[in-house]
Amino acid sequence: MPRIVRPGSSRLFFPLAVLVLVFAFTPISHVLLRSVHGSFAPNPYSSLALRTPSNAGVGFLVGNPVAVELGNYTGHVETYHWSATENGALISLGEQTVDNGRTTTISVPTRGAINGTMRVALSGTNIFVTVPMQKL
Amino acid sequence: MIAASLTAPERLTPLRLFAKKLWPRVKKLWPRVKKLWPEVAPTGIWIATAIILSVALAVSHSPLVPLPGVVTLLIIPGAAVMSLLKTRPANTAGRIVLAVCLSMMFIMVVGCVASLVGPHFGVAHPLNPWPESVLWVILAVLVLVMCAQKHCDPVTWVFDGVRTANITVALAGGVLVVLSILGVAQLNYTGNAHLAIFATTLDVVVLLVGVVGSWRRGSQWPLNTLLYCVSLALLLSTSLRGAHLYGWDIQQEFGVASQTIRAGVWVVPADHDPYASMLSLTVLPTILHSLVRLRLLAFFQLVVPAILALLPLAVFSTVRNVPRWITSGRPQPRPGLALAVVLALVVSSVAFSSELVSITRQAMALTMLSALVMVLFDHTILKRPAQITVGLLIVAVSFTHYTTSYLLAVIVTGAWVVSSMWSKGWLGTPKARIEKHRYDVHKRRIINIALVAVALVAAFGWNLAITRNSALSAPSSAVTAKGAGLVTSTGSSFIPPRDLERLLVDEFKKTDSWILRVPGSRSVPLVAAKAPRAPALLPSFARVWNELSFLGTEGLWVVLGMALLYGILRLGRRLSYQYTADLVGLAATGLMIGAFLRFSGTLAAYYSPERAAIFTAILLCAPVTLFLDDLVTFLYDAHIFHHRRVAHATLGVGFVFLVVLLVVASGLGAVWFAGQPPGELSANDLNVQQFTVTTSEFATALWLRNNVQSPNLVQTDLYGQLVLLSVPGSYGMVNEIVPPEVDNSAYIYLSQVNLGDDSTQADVGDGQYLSLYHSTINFFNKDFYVVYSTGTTRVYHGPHL
Repeated sequence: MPRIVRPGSSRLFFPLAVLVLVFAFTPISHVLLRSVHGSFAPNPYSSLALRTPSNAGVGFLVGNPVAVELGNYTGHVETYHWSATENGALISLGEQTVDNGRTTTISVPTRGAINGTMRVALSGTNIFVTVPMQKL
Repeated sequence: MIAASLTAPERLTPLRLFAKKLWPRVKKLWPRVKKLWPEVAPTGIWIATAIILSVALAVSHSPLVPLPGVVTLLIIPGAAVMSLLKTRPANTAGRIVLAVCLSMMFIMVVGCVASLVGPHFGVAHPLNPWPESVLWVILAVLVLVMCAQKHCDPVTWVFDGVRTANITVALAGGVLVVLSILGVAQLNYTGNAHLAIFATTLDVVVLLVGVVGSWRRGSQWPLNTLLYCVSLALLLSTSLRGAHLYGWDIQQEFGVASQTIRAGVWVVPADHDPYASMLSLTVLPTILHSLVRLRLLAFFQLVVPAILALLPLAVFSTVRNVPRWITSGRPQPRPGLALAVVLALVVSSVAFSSELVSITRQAMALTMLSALVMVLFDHTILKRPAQITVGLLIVAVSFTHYTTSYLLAVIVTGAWVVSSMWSKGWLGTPKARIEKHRYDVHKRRIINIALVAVALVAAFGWNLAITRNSALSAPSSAVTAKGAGLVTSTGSSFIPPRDLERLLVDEFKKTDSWILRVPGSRSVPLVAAKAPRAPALLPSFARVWNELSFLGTEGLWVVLGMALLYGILRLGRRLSYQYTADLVGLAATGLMIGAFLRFSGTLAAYYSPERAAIFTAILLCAPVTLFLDDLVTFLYDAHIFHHRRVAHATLGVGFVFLVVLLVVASGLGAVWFAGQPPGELSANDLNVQQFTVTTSEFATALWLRNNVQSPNLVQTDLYGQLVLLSVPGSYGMVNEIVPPEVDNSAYIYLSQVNLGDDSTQADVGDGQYLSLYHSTINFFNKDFYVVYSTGTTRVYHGPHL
């Protein structure tokens, strides 16, 4: 082995110290990060998206449900309350529970909507999508 | 019996086939293996330990699983090449630097060959884990056998003589790295920069203490370890900033690397993309991912800074030890002085402190360049092995970074021409000394016509003949059209939004005339926005500080010129054994190229002057150290100074100069006095807006890649474009959302800066002019639909019905 210039048991100390640090890395790093209020974890977020965004330029028919994808990346299970409004008038509302790291599709009913823009939003957040509605 | 003989012959399973045919051969070879094993036992034990450690870490679900494998892959192959070539730099630090550079070259060559040859043998994805694992086991056995036959163990070749003091200091230096990581974690999570500022201040103080403490000749301070730990700490504080990668080019590099991992093979890019032509961005991270499960993000955030931190170490190894041409009579430079030169020219350079960690291809290439210079000037390496090693590194640079390769080819060619003139004594050598001069110089010349040919063939062969990448197209067209632009500005200017809009409309008329405008978009007002600016601690000193820092950074060019002139006119003429032809050639050519790139306004759009400056600095560190060492000796010995205090005061001025450079480079000057602090010391400044990516922005980029396909168009501003480079999609992209230039059927991406900070950034003329204006969110709300939203980011699509 390469000579580490120091006699006797001192040679074992450093490999052992490195091994301890390597295996104890996870708990040590958690303690250190907590002590400085630091983290490298991703920031939590939720998302809403039209299932077929290309239809935004074409329009959705009144009466047909609009598929909206709801994503939960908050780090825990979340129950979302959503509402669909048009010009301030409530068209439909609902509730959906989503596991962390999952995306689910909600069907937003549009009966009662008129020609114009419908807004589907998550309550208490700034997360929303807007949908062009067209009556036949 | 007869019935038994009439049964079908016994079928041999693979295991029985092995036992029957191969086992006797293994038994026959065993005594030979036993005889050869002691020759390479350290390396064999190292590899076995790395494998066992990786498995143990995987079982314990540790995030450090890839660590033993990465360290092994980045040291052992290069160490094996060094031991086979009998190339051994003077100190352990130099050996580690060279081992890492040669290992990177080894990995890239193996991956390239596997990609080119594998598909012809039915292996469609040769860079995937299983094919790579088999390949590298075979390579490991072959290398061990070759090293055993040559009686040289790679691990011993590099690490023999390591002292426990080195390991102790390395562990202590690790505290600086840990502090830096904790500082950036705190800044990322809470926006509090206090710990980050403290960690950076401590790094600067440690470096300055190192300069002062090791001033005496023969000082035993562990400067190599300190320099590496502090450099790594400073680099990690930038690379770990934000939720994804920090910087501009690095996003695109990430995109190219992830595409290679998905494909499992490297191919010559059909679209002549320069990034995809580089094995450093494609094959290297893919092999590390396949073999040791290194995540791509960890490669760019952790491994590349660890490699880049070797650059100042290589330069320090070059200048600290007695250069190869000295046979007697000249002591080693003062360690503190050598450290000060490296800090001033390399660590304090804008490129090293701010840019290279986000331009990973150049980071790796410049580290190889610094190792090349180190080998050139190392007195313990024989001439022929040095030439071979230099040749290998020149070739490696060609597929690591195209621009460094082109510059290296020009510099090696120029250096050979200048050194030829120098060796003939045509540059001022007195006639009485010419014969001896020519004899001394020829003995010590490393750069020859063969290396010039290698440099030219490697640079132009790889980039133009093999990959046919377009790296030279834009700069050469610009120089042809506009000339070198030596009197034009090398920087960008901010202009009012309305002026920018006019320039943009003119530009788009020529390039994107197919854009269908939204009706009424021309009447949307653009209101100028101010760049966010964190309050400085001592703003009244801002003007003085800005002048001082400008003089400090530009004054370095004067020092470089003086050092070169001193070397040529004094040392070279009177004491020719102290100056080699290689040193003169590289220094003179490096200074000329650096000065040209510094003042060329045309080329500044493609290669910032700061990136060229560090190139020059690496080549001129040795002459500067010799010059300053003689100057300091003169100050101490001169009898014209009656008081030693005068000499000390002069040295004090030099020390203050160094302090100014380090405070500027670390960003502390911007925090304390004025200016835009770098992203690693600020929660929300212009640099943070421009170069950090948040989690929701990355998620939006992924959504765009998965939901918007060609021939659709995505438009965003400069802030938003950053993350889209990291996750490229098949859609077309335009990086403008000035209302008259928005296509009515495009997808428009608004980033967290656009929505939350109400700021949009646009540029025109290849970044020559920039502008900030308040985001036109009402325009998008009125004329488009929101198709994706995270609250902090949004994607619009139209047209409005």
